[in-house]
Amino acid sequence: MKNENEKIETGNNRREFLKTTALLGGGAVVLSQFSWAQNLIAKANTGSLTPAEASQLSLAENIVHSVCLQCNTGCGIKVKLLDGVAVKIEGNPYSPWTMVPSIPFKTPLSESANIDGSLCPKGQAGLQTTYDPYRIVKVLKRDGKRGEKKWKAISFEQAVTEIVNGGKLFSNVKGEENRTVEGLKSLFALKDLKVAKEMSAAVDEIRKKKTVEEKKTAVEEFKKKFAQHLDTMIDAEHPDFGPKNNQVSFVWGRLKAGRAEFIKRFISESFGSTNAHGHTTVCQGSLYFTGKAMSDQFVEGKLTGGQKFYWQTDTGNVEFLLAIGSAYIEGGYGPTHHAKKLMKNLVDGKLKIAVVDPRFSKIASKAYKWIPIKPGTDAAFALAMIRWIIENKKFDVKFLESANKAAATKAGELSWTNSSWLVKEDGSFLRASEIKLAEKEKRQNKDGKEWEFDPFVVLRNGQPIAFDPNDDKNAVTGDLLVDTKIGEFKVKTGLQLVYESAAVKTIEQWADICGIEAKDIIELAVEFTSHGKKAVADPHRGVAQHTNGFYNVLAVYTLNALIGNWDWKGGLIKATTYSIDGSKEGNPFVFGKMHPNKITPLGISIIRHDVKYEESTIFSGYPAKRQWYPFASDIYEEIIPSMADAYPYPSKVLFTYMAAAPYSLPGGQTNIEILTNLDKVSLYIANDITIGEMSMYADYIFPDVTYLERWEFHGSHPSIPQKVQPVRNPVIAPLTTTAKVFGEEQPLTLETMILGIAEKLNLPGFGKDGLGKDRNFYRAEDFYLPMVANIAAGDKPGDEVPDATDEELKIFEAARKHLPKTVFDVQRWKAIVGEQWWKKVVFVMNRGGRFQDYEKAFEGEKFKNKYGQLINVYLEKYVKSKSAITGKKLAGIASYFPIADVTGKEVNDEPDGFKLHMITFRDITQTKSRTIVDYWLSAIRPENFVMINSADAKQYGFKEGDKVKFTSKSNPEGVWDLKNGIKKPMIGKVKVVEGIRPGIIGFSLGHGHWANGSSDVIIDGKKIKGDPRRATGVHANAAMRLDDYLKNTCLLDPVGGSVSFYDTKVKLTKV
Amino acid sequence: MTKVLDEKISRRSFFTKTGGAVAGTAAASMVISTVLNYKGTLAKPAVVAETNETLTMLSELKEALKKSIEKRKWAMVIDTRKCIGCSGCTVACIAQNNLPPGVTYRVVHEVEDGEYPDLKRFFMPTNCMQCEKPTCVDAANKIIPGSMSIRPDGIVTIDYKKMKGKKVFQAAKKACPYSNALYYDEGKNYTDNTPAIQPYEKMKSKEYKKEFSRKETKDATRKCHFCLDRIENGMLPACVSTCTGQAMYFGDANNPASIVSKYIKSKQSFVLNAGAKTSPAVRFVHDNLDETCLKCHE
Repeated sequence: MKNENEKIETGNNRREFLKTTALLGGGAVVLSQFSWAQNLIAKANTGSLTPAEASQLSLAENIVHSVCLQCNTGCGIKVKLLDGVAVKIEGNPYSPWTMVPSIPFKTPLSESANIDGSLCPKGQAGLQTTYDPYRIVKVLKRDGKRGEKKWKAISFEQAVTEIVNGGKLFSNVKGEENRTVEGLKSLFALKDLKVAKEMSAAVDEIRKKKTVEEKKTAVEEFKKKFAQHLDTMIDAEHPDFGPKNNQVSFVWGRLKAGRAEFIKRFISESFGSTNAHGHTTVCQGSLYFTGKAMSDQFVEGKLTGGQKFYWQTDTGNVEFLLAIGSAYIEGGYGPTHHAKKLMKNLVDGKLKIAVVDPRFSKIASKAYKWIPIKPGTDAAFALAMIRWIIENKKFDVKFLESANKAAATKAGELSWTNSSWLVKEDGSFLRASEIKLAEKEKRQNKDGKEWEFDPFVVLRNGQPIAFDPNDDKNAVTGDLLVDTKIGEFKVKTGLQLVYESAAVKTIEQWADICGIEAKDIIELAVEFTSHGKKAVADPHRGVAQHTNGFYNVLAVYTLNALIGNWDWKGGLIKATTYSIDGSKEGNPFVFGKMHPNKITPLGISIIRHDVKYEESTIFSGYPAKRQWYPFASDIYEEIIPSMADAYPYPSKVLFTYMAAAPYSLPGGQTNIEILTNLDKVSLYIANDITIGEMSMYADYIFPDVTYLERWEFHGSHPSIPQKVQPVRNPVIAPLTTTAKVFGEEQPLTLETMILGIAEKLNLPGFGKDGLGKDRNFYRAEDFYLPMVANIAAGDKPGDEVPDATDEELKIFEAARKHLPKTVFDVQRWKAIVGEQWWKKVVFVMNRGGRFQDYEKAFEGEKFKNKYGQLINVYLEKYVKSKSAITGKKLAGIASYFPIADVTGKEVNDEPDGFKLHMITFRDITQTKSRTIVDYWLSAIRPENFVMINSADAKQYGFKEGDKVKFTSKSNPEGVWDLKNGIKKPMIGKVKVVEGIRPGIIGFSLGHGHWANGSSDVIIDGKKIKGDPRRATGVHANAAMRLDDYLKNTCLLDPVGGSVSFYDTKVKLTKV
Repeated sequence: MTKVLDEKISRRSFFTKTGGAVAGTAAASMVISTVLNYKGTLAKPAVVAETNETLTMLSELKEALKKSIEKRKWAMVIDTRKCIGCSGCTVACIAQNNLPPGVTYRVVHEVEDGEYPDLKRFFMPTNCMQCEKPTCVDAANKIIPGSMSIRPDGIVTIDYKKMKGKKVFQAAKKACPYSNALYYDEGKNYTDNTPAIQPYEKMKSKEYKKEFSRKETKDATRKCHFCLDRIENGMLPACVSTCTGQAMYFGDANNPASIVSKYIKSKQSFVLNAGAKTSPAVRFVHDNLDETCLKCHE
């Protein structure tokens, strides 16, 4: 190997290199990519090769690099332009998503112009999302009942004035003649920063009171202290509801950094509402929140600070990939980079794939083993493997024994677990002072604040040892399987508890629950433990989107902990980005200091997240009216239904951005009913690109621009090893109309809507000096360009990108010559970041972001952009918390729970005749609600199907192409009730396949629309005919099971917050 | 030794489009092992070859363009083991050539084989094979002389001005031993019958070094030309560069060191329907031909 390498590096013969390339499963080649890649690029661009009639599309001046948003993967794109029209989108060769390995970041634009990376079909069709004949370009106001699909176009100024001032806004609509709508002005009640801060502290005190009586007293004190300001509160008897500002909510679908900060600044930091909620739980919330639980760190005496994130496989180096409910090459964040890495390693004989999924997914077609498991039994599967691995002593003892950082370092590891820590019978960790092993110790944090440290304890050779998890000097290791008594305390280790949870059933019994063979589980356990650190059990939606999602994910990640694959090449890795907020040393724009009058929102959110029911002033025993979520957030399926129940308090104004909750959520039809109820949501403002499945129920729709016309920072995904920050930036002129805000002409976008409202409300943090002294906040780029400068600055002084050359500065301007002044003005842009940063900003934007070179992501066999911290397999915080519905303690360990509603009652509709288990899946041509607008994708997949196993088809008498209607216990009628007189039946076409487990049926998401250009609407009295091509196929989310206790939302995971996508039994009836 | 396949499907219609109605039904007679593709041995130590085949192919392309046209011979190799059936190539082709509805020079077939739970699934991208002895050319030119021709570098071309009408299209299609190579352009737009025809559909498509409006190609026969305008500008064909699985290779078969030449010489590559003796320039790679392709292709 080494010799081959040298030949290449000396560069004397490219043929030698080609001989050694891994053709047809040939030998592995180690290359120093960056020397020869440079040479090849150079070669490819010299010589007399360019034909005289050079294609306009291969000229750098006709190319803008940006980021795709056809799904959430965030592939780099290079958009080719002719006369200002985007005519072809390619993969960005600088981006590690779209070229593997990506070309060196410093490659000049002139050399990269004709190097195109790869893109999936959605990315290729992206320009149709922009050039969509059903886009709205002006503000629309409802001209009929909510959902009636009658609109009139109004001026931006009128819309903003009405929303801010309120009044009899819909007096022309029958039934609303006398309805007065409360405007934002009166809900912007609490403005005094000092009072807000004091109130916040007082509410914290109320929360800390243990009994109802004590809380009552504290509330009375609050009322006295803030007597002058009680009119700003939602309910003076419940100060923990916070101010009226909280009755305004901002809810979003797909949102990335940049716009996230923009929205947060508006709704939280300036307007002061705590109700800013995303949609995480409809994607894979319980995956994120298990990641958060497992990444919880011990900081200054408390377990705190877990990150809302998750880990994924280093797909470029893994040897054994066990994909569990993870459709790696259809969804799961990107076919682009995964496919390139996995397929190459597969044909080179370096990779084995096994797939656990009730559906024969595309990745299953590349696997050596497909295990068609019963949906919702993933924890049972993982626990069976865990049992086998522990009983056969195939776990990584060195990794698991390390109790603290120093031990991990000594063992050659970057991260460590709490597997060896001793846990008492009550579920809390044994502390050294309790057994008089060590005294509590006073320590000071870096701000001089004192905190008390009581060491944790492990047992080593029968002797208890006190330790600090973060100690990087004294290595402490502990015995792993301990069940003993120390003094008065019965103690067990975390791993012992894991083992006991796995040993409640035999492998055969677990296999029986999963509906699979025990021998397959054992075979996979053998394989999984035969690749050192280069094996990963990778969970995704199929694991997370169940009522037991949190514990399913915990079980699968615990399985990974047994082989200690974190931070290893070919193991579990995490995402790393260049930050935009200026928090790194030497960054020019510190956003933390760029809001002169930031208000701190206070009070419980309408989805009751990050707070315990028992601490609230409405605690009244169990069950609570709805679930509370101390460890999850962005619980999408709780937002609108909680407004319906006015729990914990009534809502008034709703903003949505890129949201399609009725379509995307299981049981989303419940949201329609609530949105059409003027008493539950008195004012609804949507920001959307078309009149969508949710925005069709709005009072006002502000048009947004598409991803090719705007800014955002897409961030990364855990499977990308390199540190990155892709920059989405305006590629073409916006297709929306313009408005004047802060005296400046600007296109109608999300940002302009916010700026317009901020101007009208005179919100702090916007307008003149809005970003600090002499830093006005008038336009989107005032906010975003400084973020690009921070990316360019990097992690510390010395990490800056180079300056753009004069040639590249010219290319930058030439490539944007078609952009109007309302978007791009080079002098204005330069002035925003200043001369010092301008050339660096251009360097980054010219490449569509900042991307670390591949070689820098690893150091030997270890991952350099490491996680490198404590991993919790035992979750003490959870054991100390209770479900607000059942009042029972939460489990703190990987466990199997059957599918149940929030009360813990098992869900089984089979006795009622609903016998087919329904699942959904991703087809690569669709991204849920928004890609039906792309006709090139419809050309490939004109409709979706109801996939059914041939045995079931035979049993039920279905033939290929038969039309069948979905019904379920929650939706016996089998329709979408659109609450506008239309009921859309859920009817799909049968496709008989072998590749799905008998008893399971599936449909792919993305079809079966009723809005988004698929049906007629009336604007200004004129009928705009819908396009039947956008209404094809079936969307059966309305058949998904509602929770029997909550009633107006779907089944959900009461811990991780995920919606249940795969726990419904349906009946199919031929029509 | 190169395996020879016949594309004439004997037993049943086996191939269907990914987007089509049916992705193959399982024939009861074909029960096969679940263990697929995987060859059983792991390279040790398992090290990723950080090669960038796209850059290598681009470099080879530039070399080939230095030669005079008759000295190069373009070839395409499709490693179906790496194809994930995403159809990115199909959309890239439509976008690159600004194709109207009903026309795409590339389709990806999907085949499911076996019985639950012992299944295989394959993805099979196909396009015009750019045959050295194309039967379509004679058939077309017999009806309208000058409709089709063969470039010295092997690309089979169409003169859109001449090759108009259903008659010549059908004659060429009938003569072609491959399905899905030739398409009839009905001059439609994707955004017909919507509030507005969109700007990208009004752009001219650049093919054969000329520009054509949608009107100008109406009623013409259309097919893959290896993106000749891209390759002559030093770029890879759109399907090759966009391939998410990097399953496609393109280059000069006259350069014995090129990636495509390596594949052409390899034992695992084959041409479809060699029996037709048209010498196609597109080859495929797959393992276990006997167990897969040959089961249905005689």
